[in-house]
Amino acid sequence: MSTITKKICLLGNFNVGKTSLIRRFVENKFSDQYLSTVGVKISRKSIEIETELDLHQINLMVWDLEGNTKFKPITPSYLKGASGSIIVADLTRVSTLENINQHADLFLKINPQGTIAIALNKADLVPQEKLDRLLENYGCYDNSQILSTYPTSAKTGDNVAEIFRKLSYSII
Amino acid sequence: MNSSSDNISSSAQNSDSKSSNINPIDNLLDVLLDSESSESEVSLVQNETDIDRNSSQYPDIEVEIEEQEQDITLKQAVEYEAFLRQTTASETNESEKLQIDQTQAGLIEKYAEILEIETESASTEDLADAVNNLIPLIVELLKYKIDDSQETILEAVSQITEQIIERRFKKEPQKMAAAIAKILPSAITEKIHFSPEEIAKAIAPELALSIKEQIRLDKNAISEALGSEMGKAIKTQIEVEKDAMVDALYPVIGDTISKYMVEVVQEINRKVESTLSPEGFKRKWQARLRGVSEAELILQESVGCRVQAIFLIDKDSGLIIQEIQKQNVGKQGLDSDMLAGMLTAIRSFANDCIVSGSELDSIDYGNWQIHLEVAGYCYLAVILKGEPNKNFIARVRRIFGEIILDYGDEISQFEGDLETVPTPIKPKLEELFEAEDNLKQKSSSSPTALLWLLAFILALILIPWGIVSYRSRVAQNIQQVTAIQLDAAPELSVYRLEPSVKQGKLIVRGRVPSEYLRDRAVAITQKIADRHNLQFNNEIITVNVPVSPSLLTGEIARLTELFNQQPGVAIKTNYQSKSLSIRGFILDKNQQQSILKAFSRIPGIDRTIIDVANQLPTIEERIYFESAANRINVGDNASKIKSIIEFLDRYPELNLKLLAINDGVGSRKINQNLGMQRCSNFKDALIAKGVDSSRLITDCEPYRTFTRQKEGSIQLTRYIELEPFIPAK
Repeated sequence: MSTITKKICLLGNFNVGKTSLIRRFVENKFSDQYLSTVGVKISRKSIEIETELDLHQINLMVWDLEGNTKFKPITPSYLKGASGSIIVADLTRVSTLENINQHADLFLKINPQGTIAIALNKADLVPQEKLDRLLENYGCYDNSQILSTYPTSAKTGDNVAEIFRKLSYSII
Repeated sequence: MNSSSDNISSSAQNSDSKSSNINPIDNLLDVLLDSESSESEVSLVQNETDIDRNSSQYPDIEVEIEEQEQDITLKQAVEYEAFLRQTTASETNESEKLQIDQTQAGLIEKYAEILEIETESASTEDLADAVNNLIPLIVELLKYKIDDSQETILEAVSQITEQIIERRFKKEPQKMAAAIAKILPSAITEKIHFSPEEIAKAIAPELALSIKEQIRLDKNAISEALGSEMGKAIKTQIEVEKDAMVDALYPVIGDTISKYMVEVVQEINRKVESTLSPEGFKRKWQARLRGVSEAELILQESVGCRVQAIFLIDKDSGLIIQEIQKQNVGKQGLDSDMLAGMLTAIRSFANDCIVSGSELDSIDYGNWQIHLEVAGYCYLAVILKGEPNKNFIARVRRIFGEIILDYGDEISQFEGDLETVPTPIKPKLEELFEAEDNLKQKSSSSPTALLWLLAFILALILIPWGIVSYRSRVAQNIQQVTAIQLDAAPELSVYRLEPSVKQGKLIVRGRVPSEYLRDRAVAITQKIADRHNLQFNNEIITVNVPVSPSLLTGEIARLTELFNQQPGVAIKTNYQSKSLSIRGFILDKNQQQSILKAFSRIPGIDRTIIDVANQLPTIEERIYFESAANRINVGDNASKIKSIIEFLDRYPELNLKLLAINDGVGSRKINQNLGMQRCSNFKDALIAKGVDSSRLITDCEPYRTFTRQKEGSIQLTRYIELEPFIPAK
C-alpha cells in the first residue's frame, strides 16, 4: 500500500458551502452558522482507495479557499499545485451556478492537468422537481477534465463523501 | 375560626396516614396541631375564649379514644400515653414544666417497660412492626413538640431517637440508607444555603483526605477536574497578590533560569576570554560589518540554535517531499502536512499581497524561527529554536543547493507520492541535524581549528620568506661570483665595484677612472648575467678622478716590477708630471709594445716616453794576463776597472758575467784552472774597488780559447772579458 498526498481545492462563490462540505467530509459535522472563510484554511483527510493494481492510502490536503465575491477574486496562487478541485455552487442561487464555468477555467488555466468535480450544494433546500430541472440545466459540461456533477448536501451528508472519493480516484 | 368538632372530622378525612390502625391517633394529633396553630393565630384577639375552647375539646377527644378502646394494643397504649402527656403539657403551659418533665420521665420508663414485656412476649416480627408503627407517631410527636416546646421534646426524644436510629440501622441498614439518601443532597444544599460556614467546618477536615482518596482511586480524575481551572486560578492569584506568586515560583523558575543563565554566562565568558583569538577578531569584524554590538553576537553565539524539524516542501502544492523531525520524548511531532500547507499558503499570500518577486526568508515567533530557503520547485523550511548563525545558514544553503543540483528534476516531477522521492535526500538533510549536534563538539575542537589557522599563518609568513631568502641567497651567490671575477681582473681589482642582484637584474655600481676599465667590467659582468639569465644593468660610471699619486706610483712600481720579472726585461720607470718615462732594456720588440701599452693604461698617465734598448750594451774592456800568470796588474788596468765600474753605474739593471779566455798554450786543465783563478782574482779586484759582488758572476769553467784570426801578439790571447746581462730576479 502506497501513501500518496494530494492537494485539492474547493472553489466557488461565497456562501455556497465549501467549508461546510469539507467539515462534513473531514469531521462529519454540520453547522447552520455562516462563518466566512478568510484567506485559506487547510484540512487533511486520509482515505483509502482501491484500484485494480493496488490499495492506495490517499492523504488529501483540502484547501478551503475564501469564496470570491464581486470585489474580491480568488487568489490564483493558492490553486497552484492542486491535483483536483471541487467547484461548489449553491442550488438556491442561480448566479453561483452560472459561475461554475468561470471557476473551472481559472482552475484549468493554473493546473492544466487538473481534474474537476462539481458539487451543487444545498440540495436539501430544493424540492425534487426543481432539483431535476436545475440538474438538467447545470449538470452537463462538455469538458473531459470535468468529472461529473453531484447534487450534494453538507447538511444531510448526501454525496459529500462520494464526490471526494470520486475525485480522489481520478487523480491518483 | 373553625369549631373543634369540625376540626376533628375534617382532619380525620384529610389525614393521609399510611396505616389504618394509627388513624385515630393521627387525627388526634392533627386536631391538636391545628387547634394549636389556629390558637396562635387568634391569640392576640381572643385569649380567654381559646382557653375555654381548649378545655371544651377534651371530652370529644376522649370519646374518640374510647371508641377505639378495644383495639388498643401495646403500641397504641404507648401512643396514648404520649398523647396524654402532650395534651397535659399543652394545658399546663410553662408553669407546669417541671411536672411535665417528671411525667415524661415516667412515660419513658413505662415505654421501656412495655417494650421489654413486648420483646419477651411477642415475636421479633411483632416488635419490628411495633417499632415501625411507632416511627410516624414519633415523627408527629416531634413535629408537634418542636412547635410547642422544643427544649422539652428535644430532651425527651434525643436519647430515644438515637437508640431507635441505631437499632434501625442495625436491622436494615440499606433501607435506612435509602431513606436518608433521598433527602441527603437537598439537606446538605439547604444547610449550605443557610449556614455555609458550618458545612465548611464540617467538611474541611476530611477534604484533603477525600481528595487523596480520590487520587488513589483514579489518578487522573482530580487533575482533569482541576486542570482546566488551574490557569485561571493562577491568573487570579497573580492579579490578587502578585508578590506571593513570585515568591512561590521563585525557587523553581529562579533555579531554572539561573541554571540556564550559568550555562550562557559560561559560554559568554569563554567567548570574552577568547577576544584576542582569531575567533574574537572575526567576531569583532562581523559586528562591525553587520552593525550590531559585539555583545549581541556573543549572546547569540552562546544561546545558539537548535533545529527542531526540517521540511522539504513542494513550492506550489505545499505537499511534503521530505521531512525530518527531532524525536522529542513525550511530545507529539509537528503535523507536517498541515504545517507545510499553511506555510505554503502564507508564502503565497506574502508573495501575492506584499511584494511580488521577493521571497519570505523567515518567520519568527518568540524564540522560534522558521527559516525558509526557496528554489525553483521546492523550498526548505528549517524550524529552529534560537537565532541561527551565519555558518549554519550557509550550511543550510549549501546542502539545499546540493539537493537541488542532484535531484532537482525528481523534485519538479513530484506529485505527492513519497516513494518517488530520491532516498539520498533524507541523509543529506540529516546532515543539518548532525551539524547542529556537532556544534558543541566543534566548539570544543576549536584548538585544532586554531592550530590550522596558526599553521596557515605560519605558512603565509614562512613560504614567502623562504622564497625571498632563497632568492637572496642566489642573488648573493651571483654577487659574489661577480665580485670575484671583477677582482680577478688585475686592472679592476683596485676599484670598488659593487655587484647587486635585484628583481632579475644584475646591477653593478661603481666608479672607474677610464672607459677601458668600464668596458672590461661590463664584459665580465655581462658574461655572468647571461649565464644566470639576468638582465645586466650597468651603473659603472667613468670618472676622471684625480688619481692619488701614491696609488699611481704604486701602480707604476707594481707594473715595473711585474715586467722586470719577465726575462729579457730590465726597465726603470720614472713618473713625473703625468708623463712616464721608461728606460732600460726590453730585448723583445713585441714585449716592448705590450709593456708600453700596459703602462699607458694606468689612469693618471697621460704620456709615456719609452727609451729602451732592445740590445744590451757591450764592454770592450778586456783584462790581459801574462802567460801562466793569474795575477792582475791593478795599476795597468786601473782605467779599465774604472770604466767597468762606470758601466755598472750607468746600467744598474745589468750585471756582468766574467768570461775567461786562454791562449790555448799548455794543457787544457792548466788553462782551465788558470782561467778560474784569473776570474776569481778579477772579481776580487772589482769587489775591492767597491763593486757589488752580487752583480758579478763568473763563468770561467768552460774552456774557451782565443781563436787567432791573424797574426798578433800571443799576449792578447790571454784575457778576461765581460758580458753584461739582465739578471734573473
